[in-house]
Amino acid sequence: MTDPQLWISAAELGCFFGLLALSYYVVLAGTGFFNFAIGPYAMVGGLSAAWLVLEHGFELWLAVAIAVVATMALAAVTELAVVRPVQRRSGRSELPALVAVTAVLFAIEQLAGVIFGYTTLPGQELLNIQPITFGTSVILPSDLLLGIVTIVVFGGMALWVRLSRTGRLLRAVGDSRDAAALLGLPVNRIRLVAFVLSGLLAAVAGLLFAPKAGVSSTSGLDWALSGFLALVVGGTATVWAPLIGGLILGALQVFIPFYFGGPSLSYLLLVLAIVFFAFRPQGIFARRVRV
Amino acid sequence: MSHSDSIRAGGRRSRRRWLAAALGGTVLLATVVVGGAFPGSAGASSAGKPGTKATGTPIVVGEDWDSTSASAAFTDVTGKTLQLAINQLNNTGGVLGHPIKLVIGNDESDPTKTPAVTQQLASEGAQFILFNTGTDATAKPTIEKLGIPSIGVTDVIPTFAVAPDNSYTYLLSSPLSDWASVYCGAWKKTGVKTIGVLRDDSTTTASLDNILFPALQKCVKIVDVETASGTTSDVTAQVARLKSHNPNAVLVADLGGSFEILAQESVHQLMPTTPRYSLATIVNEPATWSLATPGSLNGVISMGSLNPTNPQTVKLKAFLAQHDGASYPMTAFDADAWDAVQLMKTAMVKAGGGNDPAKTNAQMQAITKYLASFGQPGYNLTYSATKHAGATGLCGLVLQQFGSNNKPTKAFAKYQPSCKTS
Repeated sequence: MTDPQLWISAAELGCFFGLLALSYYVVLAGTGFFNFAIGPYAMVGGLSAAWLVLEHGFELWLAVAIAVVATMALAAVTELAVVRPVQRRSGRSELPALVAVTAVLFAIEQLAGVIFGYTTLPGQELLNIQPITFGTSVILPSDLLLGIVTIVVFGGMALWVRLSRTGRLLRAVGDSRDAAALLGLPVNRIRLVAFVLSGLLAAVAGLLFAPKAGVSSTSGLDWALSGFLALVVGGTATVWAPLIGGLILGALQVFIPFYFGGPSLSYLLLVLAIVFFAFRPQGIFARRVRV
Repeated sequence: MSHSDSIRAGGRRSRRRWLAAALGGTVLLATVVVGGAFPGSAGASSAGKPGTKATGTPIVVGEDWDSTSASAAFTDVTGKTLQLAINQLNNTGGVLGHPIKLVIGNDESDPTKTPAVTQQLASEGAQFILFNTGTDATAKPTIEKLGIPSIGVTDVIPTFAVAPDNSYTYLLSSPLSDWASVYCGAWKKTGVKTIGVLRDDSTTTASLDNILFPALQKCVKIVDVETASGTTSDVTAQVARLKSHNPNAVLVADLGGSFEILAQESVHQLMPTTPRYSLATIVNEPATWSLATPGSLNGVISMGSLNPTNPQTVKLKAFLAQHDGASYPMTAFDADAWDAVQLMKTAMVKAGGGNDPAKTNAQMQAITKYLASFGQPGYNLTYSATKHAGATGLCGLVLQQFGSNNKPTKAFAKYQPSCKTS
């Protein structure tokens, strides 16, 4: 446990899971809905940028910009063309929309395979510096960038949600859509903002994490599950809760195999998920309501 | 709400519905246009100069091609060259004037799907089946029942070619037992007495290891075996555990692709002075080399089978360069694919045509001293009624070493296998 490289890996995974969980959080806060397509959004962000650069010679930052915009558009389409119509038709039932968005998850993966191919592409390094070595440990440029961006994004989101008008509206609509509608708040616009913002966050997460092990069209499902579990563990009391959940999950992903062997990871994560679903479904940081 | 308010609300809803549809349609259209403007590189170009094109009744050949799972790292190369070889065959007279029509299935290297895909290919009229997947062995009972000669194009596990149910099944590549002999030879030469193994959790890798490990343990002690999911993003913990056992060398065993790169990079970071070996024929997966950070593959020793002094290799390389460019990195998978088609053609021609699987099968067993496009000069493949694996010695294998440019740049100087039979 004293090997710093283990902690660097845990932090790297934790930051990625935290960003994915934040994407979930934004949609949940703004719509009261779990958008399981977050994982494929992140995959599209990382994979499309790599594909544009490697297969078609695009300049890096242009490819990144296109990837981010495409992912945000994908998120918008999910809300406008799938979630909203399904929820409108199904009344107060959440299940049909959850099923529909799960179908979207698989549809995006299949479409990505058709467009980008099925082989893994290397993620694009956005920070062009030498790895930082200290002793036997190494911090890669992508690790450093992921950590810095995570802090900046979470800090920015915390301020935005608290201080901006749209951020406050997001929380209001998420708390009670009916009450918000009665008050004349722009519910549909806020929902759309939530989805598009989650697409942006997921794209950033995918772009920053892709250099670690590459990205392929099948990466989305694993990432969707990891982000969801991080949110379940962290809770939704504050913007920072997803990051705490992500860091806990990242640490478990490294230290469980270290102490118990590789095959134990799946089983112990399953136990963790069951424990939280059964005893603490609201996560570690739960929102308290004064009555 | 007043009547006029409800009309306005209805109008707004209708406008938004159209806006949503337009936005969705635009994104979908953009996706199709972008995807269409930049088509993927799947599918080989048509091969050969127009010559005596075969124009008779097509002979149907099936290919079980896993093009979508993690194995796609190597099956894609194989699949493209199989198509290229068949195109070349059709452009130069086919099989006694009959073109080959390739029908393709995809079992996703899922052992539960392979028999069904085999059956499906047979129902489409396949007279011969080429298996380009990680789970061909599970199709053996089905192949035996159907009586269709089949080649496991890149398979190195002997199971496919040995009893039971092997009347119609054949292999090209050197068996794993030969691999163990070569690795043992290299380790004996370089003083490696203990190894640690890092592997993925796929059934294919598990099958490989069940055969390989007992053979390796005759020459080295395996001090630790660490396993990680094939889709994992981090193996730091597993490498840290390997490191604690202080092996003389590390062997990475997996299906290749991103897991192999992740594993090699992690070992390079945490155990920079420990020699690294690869079982995954990473040397034959050029698409994965770019996944590695610069220099991280330097020194990796991988099992390959291409020797630039083999005239058959040179010939095939020139042919591939004509169609895929001079910089196309030929791999053993290209050689396997090419030779599989030539063997199939030879058997069909000697059988008087390809529409009698029993006769074709008998002729497969009569092929001797076929000069392979891989291995050392003069290396050949030989089959018989009791020998369905074509390998004829250790010199079908070449240990290759990666350079600082993350590409295999040379044969491993300290050891190469001799042509003694294993």
